[in-house]
Amino acid sequence: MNVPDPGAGLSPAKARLLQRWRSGAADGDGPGAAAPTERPIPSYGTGPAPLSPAQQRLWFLEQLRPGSAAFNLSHCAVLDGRVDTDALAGALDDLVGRHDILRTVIDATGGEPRQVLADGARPRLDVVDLTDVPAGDGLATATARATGVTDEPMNLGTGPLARLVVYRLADRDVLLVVVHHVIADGWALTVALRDLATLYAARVAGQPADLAPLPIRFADMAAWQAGGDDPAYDTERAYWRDRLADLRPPELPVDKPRAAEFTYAGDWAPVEFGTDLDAAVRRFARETNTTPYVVLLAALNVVLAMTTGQRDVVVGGAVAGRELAQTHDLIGNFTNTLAFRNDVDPRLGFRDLLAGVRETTLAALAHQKLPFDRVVEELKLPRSAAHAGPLPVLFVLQPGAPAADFAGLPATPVQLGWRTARADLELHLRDQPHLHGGLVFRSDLFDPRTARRLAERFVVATRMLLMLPDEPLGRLWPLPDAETRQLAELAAGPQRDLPPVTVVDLVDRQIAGRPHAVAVTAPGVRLSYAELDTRARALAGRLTRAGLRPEEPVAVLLPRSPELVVAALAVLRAGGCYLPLDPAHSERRNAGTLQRSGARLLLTADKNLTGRLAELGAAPEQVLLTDDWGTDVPDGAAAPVIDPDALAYQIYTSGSTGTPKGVLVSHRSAVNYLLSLVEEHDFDSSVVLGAIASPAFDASVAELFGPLSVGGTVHLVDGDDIADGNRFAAALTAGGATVISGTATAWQLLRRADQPVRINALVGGERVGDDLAAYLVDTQLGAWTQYGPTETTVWATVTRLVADEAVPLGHPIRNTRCYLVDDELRPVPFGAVGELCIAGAGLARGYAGSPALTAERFVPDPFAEAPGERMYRTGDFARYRPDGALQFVGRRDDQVKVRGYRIELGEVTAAAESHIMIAEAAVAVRPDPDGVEDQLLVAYLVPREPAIDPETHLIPDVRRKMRDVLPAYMVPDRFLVLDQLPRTGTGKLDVNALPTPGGNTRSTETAYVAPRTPLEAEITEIVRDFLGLDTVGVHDDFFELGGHSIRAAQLVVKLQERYGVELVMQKLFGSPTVEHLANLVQAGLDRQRQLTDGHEGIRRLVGELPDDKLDALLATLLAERGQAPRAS
Amino acid sequence: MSNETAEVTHAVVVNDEEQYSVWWADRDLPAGWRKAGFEGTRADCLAHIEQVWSDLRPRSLRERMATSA
Repeated sequence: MNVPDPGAGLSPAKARLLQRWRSGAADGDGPGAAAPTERPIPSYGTGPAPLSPAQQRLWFLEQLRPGSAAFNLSHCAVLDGRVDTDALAGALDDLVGRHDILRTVIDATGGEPRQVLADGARPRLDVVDLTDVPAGDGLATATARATGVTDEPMNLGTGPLARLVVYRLADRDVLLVVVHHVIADGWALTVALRDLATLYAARVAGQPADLAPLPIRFADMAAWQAGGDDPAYDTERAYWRDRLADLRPPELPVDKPRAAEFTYAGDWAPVEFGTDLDAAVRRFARETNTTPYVVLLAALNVVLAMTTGQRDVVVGGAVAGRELAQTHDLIGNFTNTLAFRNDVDPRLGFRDLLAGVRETTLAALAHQKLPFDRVVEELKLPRSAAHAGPLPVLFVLQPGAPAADFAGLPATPVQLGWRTARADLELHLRDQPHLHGGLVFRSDLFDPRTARRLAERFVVATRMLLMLPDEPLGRLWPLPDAETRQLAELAAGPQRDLPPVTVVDLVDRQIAGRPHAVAVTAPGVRLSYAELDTRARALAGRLTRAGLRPEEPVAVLLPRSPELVVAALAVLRAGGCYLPLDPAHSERRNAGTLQRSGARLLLTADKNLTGRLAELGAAPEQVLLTDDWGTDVPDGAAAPVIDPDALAYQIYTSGSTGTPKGVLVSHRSAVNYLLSLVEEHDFDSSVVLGAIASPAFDASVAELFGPLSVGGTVHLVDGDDIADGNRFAAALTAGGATVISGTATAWQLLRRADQPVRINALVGGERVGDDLAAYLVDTQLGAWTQYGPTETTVWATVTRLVADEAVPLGHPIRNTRCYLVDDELRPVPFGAVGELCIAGAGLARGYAGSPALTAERFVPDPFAEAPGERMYRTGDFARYRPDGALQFVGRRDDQVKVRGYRIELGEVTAAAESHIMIAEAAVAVRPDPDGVEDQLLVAYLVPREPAIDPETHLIPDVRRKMRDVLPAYMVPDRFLVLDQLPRTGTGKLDVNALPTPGGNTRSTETAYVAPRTPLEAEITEIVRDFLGLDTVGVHDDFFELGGHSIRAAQLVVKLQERYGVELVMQKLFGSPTVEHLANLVQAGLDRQRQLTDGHEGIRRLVGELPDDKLDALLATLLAERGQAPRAS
Repeated sequence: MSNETAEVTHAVVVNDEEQYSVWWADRDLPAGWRKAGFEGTRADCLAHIEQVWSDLRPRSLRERMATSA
């Protein structure tokens, strides 16, 4: 971190704050800057010493994920000339003599890690001769080699934990220092370079170095810190408990699903401020009496709030932890992590936000002693093996790299970049010569394009915030112009002329042009366009005679049959509003809809229906039975002129409120959709569409009028045939269907048919799994996915499915716009999750008889080019993938949080369905009947075959599989096996009908289970001793019993020693139980036995080999060894 | 952090087609929208709309249908 020039013109209070600030924040200030506090630190001697809290953290992380280079600190510089390598080697020896921490290793024999001096761990100087490399390539070659060395993991147990390399180029030298974070920090690296330069200069001059002796050793400090808690810990603990209560880590919009375990795999995107912006940051910091770090932190907060949609933003920072003057010249790791938590209130201007950030930062710095790991343990911050830590975003501002001078040789720093990430995102900036650095990201979570956009957004936002520091953030919400343009491009579907015609006009054109073509087929029935026209005109005449007014709803209660098509066309032709009901729905529901709609007229085939409806309180004035419709077209009666903006149909959908609401859709909207079928799916007169949707669903309207508007054929599939895959496929084949539009459920049925169909496949209306998508792409002529609420007319987006690509939502259809917005209807940045709002020609008029609900969901479109337009808030959440495709994230209701983590139910469902035994699955959040947790994540499994005793076989197996592929926090707490999933009338999953698990069936860790195998018994014993407990069940959670992360690491070391197997600490996090530990140990033992058996086999084999064969074999082996690349 | 929607004052807004909705009282209105004269909480505004918006048809359609009838 960085601080301004001390003192000048400050009030005493401010000066005190500044002093406190400096003592903590001095990591950015380098040696010698901290306040001169001293206190006696006793000498501990040179024997094995305890670890400092910072070292413990590093050692623990090494156990968690061994063999990583993520904690190698490095500094690389070009020396303008030749260094004297003998003098440098001597200076290195002197440096190690001065700082014996440089020949320290971490010995964990017995489980308790200690720092131990080891002569074998002395760092050495390597000189790499690159003088043969052409001068132009020299530096690049050296940098590449230096990068390679920086990325080599170091062994904490054996050392050395520091390296010094000189790359000798034709004309100059490149110097590389690498040191492990367990013995150094950013400050220490500066000390090391400074001392090395001084010692080198002395060696060159042949004089003793002018360095004051060090007052203490690092080990003294570590032992003192480990000797007992600082008295400040109590107040600090209280502060952090209060400050971080209910902490919600930022939910970053990651591009790739979070794997069960994190890796340090990382990459970076450059962040460049340029001199103007750099000056602006410093000027603003001076004006507001704060530091560049705080200004940048505040800007980062704004960017994170925009990106996550969360106001509550927490960012981790590092403090030097060198309050004591004796520590200033030491090499060692003193750093601590602090959590800076701020509320980004969109009503505040940046200046006011900054004032708040300044306060919280100073307060955090005033409580910087308590090791952050202790904060994590005590506050039980969410912990999982999928996350490197509880703070997904870190921000570090380092001073300009130390430009040491080596006996007159100027040294210019070289940026090696970052290839490991310790958090999801880390902003690393250096403040000299101007602000620059990188946004480091976990490459297993983010696409590089996303990181580049974020980095760019940070720079642009900082510039804009500094230019308009008093504008409320909510109005500013700064996005780079390029990003705004890109979002606008992605938002808009193709712009097409929309002729002022009605659905009837479209069909009339076909009736006139192709009277004898087949319009409708059904089992045993075939209607030509002319026949359809006659029957529809006859019925329309009857409706007109019945006094039908324009836009008046006419209820139609008919199964999928030619009469349904006749009725729909007749209602429209007579100027009415088609209101379809599904006879397959309950009569109570249909009666309710009739009542709500106030429909006066009902078209049906069922004579006895009227009486039953009356009993349910619905009494339409006139019921026109199919038998009475006739075919007599009335003479001379002029067909009513229908306004394109008049209503075409009204569809009742049950919203989240549970009460069905009637969506009113105009001819204009319907026509726009029908025309899109030609554009998106090449609909023409050859189309034979298999109609399968419930008539009460708006997809049915599209099924009937889609083919009729282009002169094709509607083939009506009988409701009974749809329930069985074989009959379904046969019905489609019999009708010569060329295309159907079905839900994922419908396609799963067809997929299982003995004679599957091969047609054009449209799929939508519910989540389409990648597996189904791949099947459709493979087996069907063409496959499209489509999405859209009834309120925006059938489907608003569509896209052709492509092999091996996650299923996107699709692009907006013609004259349709899709926006992603936050709660306040502001655009979210590219890649961020936002609510999908849809505008354009498909927008419904509203909800029948519900002006307030209409006004709530159909809101002013702030992005429209034409004035006064509205947009519909879908309640669905989506984001743009890095490739620009719109990706569905979840319903508002599906975004659940369990134990502090946001969980995408769809992702969990997909993991359950990936199990070979599971036909279908659903996942929901339900209250915990036992009251242990607020909420439980419950998985509902439909097995492919009836499961016998699922509790002992199926469920544990599915749980294991899910643990393999999902982070532990996403693995459901409960599993219920169902025969089938409850579905709504339109075939969608009925979430509300999923049962709530009963109490006490908890299949996880509460019940005591005694050890069942000798190994479990042994490990139970060890854990019991370790935690000092009387009983430990094999399913008990190690952490719930009081273990913490360092203890866990020690336990793992203990087990490793006892059983002689390698255990990966990280594996313990997913399921920290004796059972799991025993499995891990057993797996290790099994692997070892295989290996031993293998060796034994080879030994026997070798014993039986004749000598000459053996010689040849040896020669081959040696030759291979000789060719093996040497470690550099 | 806490949801502060209840404190935010909304306004009933209306466009040229006399379609109603709500907008934040202190934010600029999107083009083509004007305040209809009622302000309050979001819920108040919606309740007001429930009372005053009696015909969901866009104004232009309403006028055309009136002439053709």
